[in-house]
Amino acid sequence: MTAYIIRRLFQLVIVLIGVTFITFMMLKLVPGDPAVALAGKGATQQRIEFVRHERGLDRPFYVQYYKYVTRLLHGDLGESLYTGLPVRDMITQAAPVTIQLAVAAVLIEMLGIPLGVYSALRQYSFWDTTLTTLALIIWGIPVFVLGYFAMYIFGLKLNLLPIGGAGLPYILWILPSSWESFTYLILPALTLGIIEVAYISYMQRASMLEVSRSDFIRTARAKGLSERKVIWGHGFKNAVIPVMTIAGIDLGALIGGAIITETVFSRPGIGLMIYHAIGQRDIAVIAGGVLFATFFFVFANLLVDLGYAWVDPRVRLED
Amino acid sequence: MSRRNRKWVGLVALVAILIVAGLVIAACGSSSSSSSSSPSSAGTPKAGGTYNFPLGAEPISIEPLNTQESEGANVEHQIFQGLEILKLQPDGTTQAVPDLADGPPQVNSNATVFTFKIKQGVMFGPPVNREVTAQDFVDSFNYVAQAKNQSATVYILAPVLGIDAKTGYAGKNGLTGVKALDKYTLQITLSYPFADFPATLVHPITHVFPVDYANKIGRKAFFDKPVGTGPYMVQDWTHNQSVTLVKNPSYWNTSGSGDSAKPGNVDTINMPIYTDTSTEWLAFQKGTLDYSAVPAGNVHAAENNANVKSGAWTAKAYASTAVYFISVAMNHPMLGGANQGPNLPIRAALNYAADRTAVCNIVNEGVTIPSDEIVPVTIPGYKPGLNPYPYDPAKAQPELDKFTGTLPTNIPYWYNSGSSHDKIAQVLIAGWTKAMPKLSFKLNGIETNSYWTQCGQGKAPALFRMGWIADYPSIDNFIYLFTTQGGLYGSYSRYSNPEVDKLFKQARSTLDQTQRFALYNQAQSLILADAPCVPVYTYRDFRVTNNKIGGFSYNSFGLINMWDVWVK
Amino acid sequence: MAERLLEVKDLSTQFFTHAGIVKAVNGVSFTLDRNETIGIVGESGSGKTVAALSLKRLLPARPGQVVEGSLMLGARNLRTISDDEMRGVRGNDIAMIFQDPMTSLNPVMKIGKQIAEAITLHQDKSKREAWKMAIDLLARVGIPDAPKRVDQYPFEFSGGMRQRAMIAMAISCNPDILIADEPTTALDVTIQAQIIDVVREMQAQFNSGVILITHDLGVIAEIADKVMVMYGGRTVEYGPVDEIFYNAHHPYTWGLLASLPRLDASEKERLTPIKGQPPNLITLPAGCPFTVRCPYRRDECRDNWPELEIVAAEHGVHCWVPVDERQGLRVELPHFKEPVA
Repeated sequence: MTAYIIRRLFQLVIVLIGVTFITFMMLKLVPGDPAVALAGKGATQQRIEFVRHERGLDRPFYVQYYKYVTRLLHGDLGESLYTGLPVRDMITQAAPVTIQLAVAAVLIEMLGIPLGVYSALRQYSFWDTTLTTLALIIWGIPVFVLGYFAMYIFGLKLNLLPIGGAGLPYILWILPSSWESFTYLILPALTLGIIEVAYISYMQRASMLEVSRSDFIRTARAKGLSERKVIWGHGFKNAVIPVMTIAGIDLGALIGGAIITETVFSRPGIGLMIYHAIGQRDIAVIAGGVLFATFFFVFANLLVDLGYAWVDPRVRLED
Repeated sequence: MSRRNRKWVGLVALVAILIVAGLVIAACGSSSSSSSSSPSSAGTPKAGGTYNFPLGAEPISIEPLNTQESEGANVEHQIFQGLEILKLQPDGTTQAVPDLADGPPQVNSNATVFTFKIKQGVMFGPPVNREVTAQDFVDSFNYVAQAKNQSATVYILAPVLGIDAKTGYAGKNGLTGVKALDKYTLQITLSYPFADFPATLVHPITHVFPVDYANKIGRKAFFDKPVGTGPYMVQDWTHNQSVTLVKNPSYWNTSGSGDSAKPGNVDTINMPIYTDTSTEWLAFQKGTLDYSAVPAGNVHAAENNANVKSGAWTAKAYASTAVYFISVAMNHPMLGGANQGPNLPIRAALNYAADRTAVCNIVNEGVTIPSDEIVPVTIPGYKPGLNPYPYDPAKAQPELDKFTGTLPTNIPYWYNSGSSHDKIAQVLIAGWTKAMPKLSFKLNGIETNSYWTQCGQGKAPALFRMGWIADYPSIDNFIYLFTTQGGLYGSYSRYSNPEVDKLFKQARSTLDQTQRFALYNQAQSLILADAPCVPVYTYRDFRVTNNKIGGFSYNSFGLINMWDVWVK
Repeated sequence: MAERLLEVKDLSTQFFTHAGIVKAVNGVSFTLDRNETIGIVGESGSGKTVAALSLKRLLPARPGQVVEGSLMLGARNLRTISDDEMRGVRGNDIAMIFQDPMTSLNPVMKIGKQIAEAITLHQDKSKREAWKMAIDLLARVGIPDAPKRVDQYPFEFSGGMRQRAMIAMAISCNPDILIADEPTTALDVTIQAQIIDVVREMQAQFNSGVILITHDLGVIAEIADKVMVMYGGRTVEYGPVDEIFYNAHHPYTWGLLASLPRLDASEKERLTPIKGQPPNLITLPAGCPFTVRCPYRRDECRDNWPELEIVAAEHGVHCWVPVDERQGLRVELPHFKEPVA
């Protein structure tokens, strides 16, 4: 197990190095000249060149990359081209907002597991059909549509929850500090989470159905175990393994969804930060944001994999 | 799946759709009755309360150094002041009038030296609390013009003596043209004549701030919590979430004299950041905000909203100082070449047949104003009827027939992707090809940053979409676009007409305003006759405001004097 | 006479599917005594596994259903007892080992726990005692280093070892009846013999009755006391093992025997497969399901199910071919010829 964790941490470092490179590469390959935007309106070519030189944008790509990575190793993510703010500060400020949303969405997402099991155990019943159909409908709705709809109903019409905002400040970095702060979290988390609930419950149902037809479930029944023990003792653990894998991969989608969700709900998180930075072609901020998102994704996946190993001895004991 | 199960799925889907539809219908049916306040009536301004004004994005900056887009400008406008201030005129134009300057400047005969008297008793807000002197202006100008402070709006100071024309920043010896003659006298010397120079002094980069204090607390700290002389001051800027302003307790203009800001009415200005207009609009409807933009496609719905009809809200389009036009690549032989050369009939015909009204109505929901001129209606000196090829599709084909060469086909039409530039292009092309069936166009949408880079490099082959927002209320700002230099760095059209350059220069050295405007418009007539562009419209900003707020005004630069607003 | 453990009478099991009613088992009867081993043979789809699963009420819940017959386990009718009672029966009275040991064990549960689980359920044993018993059982089924192995997961076991573990699990509660459903099919030949040995040893130790389901007559010859030949959900012939091998009366049995490799057969005679496809269980004829493939079919075969005909002691057959004719035909078949010296 320790070897497994060490190996995964090593992989994490490689992935992060790769990501800094790819991010940089992407920004270099995308057409358009950041110096033009930075030089301001109506700038002469001379001024554009001056600004380009001043900001080091005329250096060869590998020099810019090398400088970036060197600074990175010192914990310096550079400064925003536009505001001059340290990217590290921007991320420290935005990260809790995103992590709070992601954690809340994952917790909501977990609801999909019991729902899926319930559906599978009552295959073709009224509730199974209802849940499955609803899951398919919800799954097909784009995040922003669901977001506006939720805000319209719960924020405007029912006047229960706030429209937009992050409900800062937090305690213990990500926990809402008050009921009011918490109310800001409800809609975005539900919007992001419910689509994942639909997805997870659908997958959990399929997985549970498949497992319940497997030979070892028959063996468990043949032993005379009660249905409860057959389902939870033997079926569930096996059925949840593929769902965990999906959930892990799905974290990527969750971060992608967070960008849209944060924009729709005006939540000042990493997603919104990247969204703005892309519009402004703010290389340092995009690179920092993507780096953070990757780190978050890889780290969360590591957690999922550890959970996976904990559940499945085949993974845990292979090495 | 058995027939029975299929029936279940169908039933459940139907029920789900009905529920959703029901919610939508219910939501649409019940009109929101959150606000019961009466339509705006004059009333007497009252102190206290909070004004909730949304920002559409995180400001890039809220201090003079780098304020550029409207979000930052509206924050900066409440905190900082300069020699001049924008004043909305009864005729709808916005003009520069003295603010911290005590009256208009003294100008030398060729409009290169401007001497301002500074008002006495102007104070920087807490924690600086010290009187503003002419030296503070000298320091402020020098600070923002320094290359190391990397201002993106330093181009405003371009006429000032001491700016290095190559870099756009102050040269080695600083801004030699800005001098404090005594405690309250400031002299600004320009490197070339520019009679309308005082109009540039409304721009944030010319505003005064305590440089000593900024240096003391450091770049980052001043960025977050800058200090000025305005009626409000920054209480908090939670990045990406909100900016909160509170009344400046030691605001200097207690008597409320002149055109300078009066002491504020509301105690707090709460400026939450709503990056998505739809969300902002929802929040406004909920009553969280007192002001809102309206998402595209919702203008007519907003105009017909029950609260607007009842007078609880006001929905209105405010003319701005921005123009939309289609530039012609004069450096390219397809439509360009000599100003009065063989391609002129094509350019003139395009002007005749440009259905600007259709663009404004079909694409822009009636918000924009059709215009066939370069200068927007909100700019002092605007004069209608200068375009020799006004909209008249019947004249287009006869005009085109004057063209003797081989008619170009698939004329390239570039635009930056996003927004509704593609739709505007389609409407214009529909009008052109209807009037002149032999013409054909080829649309090319390009990613925004790449688009400006390529247009700047003169790579656009024929037609390309352009826009221009005034930085200050002067007609000079627009005529400049079609001077030889402006053709390179402003309109990107590569247009050059020595006559225009001559008139432009002459106008800049003419002190008399009437004569000056006449010269600028003479230049505009020449430009329009050469048709290096197809003007399309002047922008307006559609805004909905809550009438429980009094004293609201919106100038053509999109700025709101928030010290005037009050909660009824 | 030995103690009668099980008496199955007229068992019919059907599956109600979208395509139609699958008549998997049609009126099958047999008995099982203590210490006795009955072999049920037939091709896949002949209904032998379904018959066994019917006994344990392990048919896939929705479509599968016992529609007729009585299943008497001593005095209890397995068709009518409650689910709770049935759970008792499953562990205590009738244990079962399955065809594929690779998939029949829970991959994420320790072998020991999978065995101990059944013990704590049916016997008054603590977890620790059950664990000890599991080690003991593993040792008894011939797993070396049982104290270590008990702590491992199925993926750490070979196929043969897993089947041994399955047997250990099955016998953990001293069942009266052990159903072995193709216990050797998925294993290679050397392991097959070992597993059969284990089954036999366990039977000897616990005095169980064994129902051995297989399509492999070789295994039957080795272990069974009596044989039931199934085809298309019906018993076509049954009898003591020697009778079936040396005095078979049904053409299908002959076919099965013909497909059995014989060491003494000449190259040409080896392995004669039965021509044709297994029957479609939805569109079974009213008569003998083997009719279509039977080389000796006659007019009455298709529509009428022949009465049971007792041809020797404990040896019955359902066939329209008259008995003397059958004997004549059988003599002609290569497999019933005396080996040429």
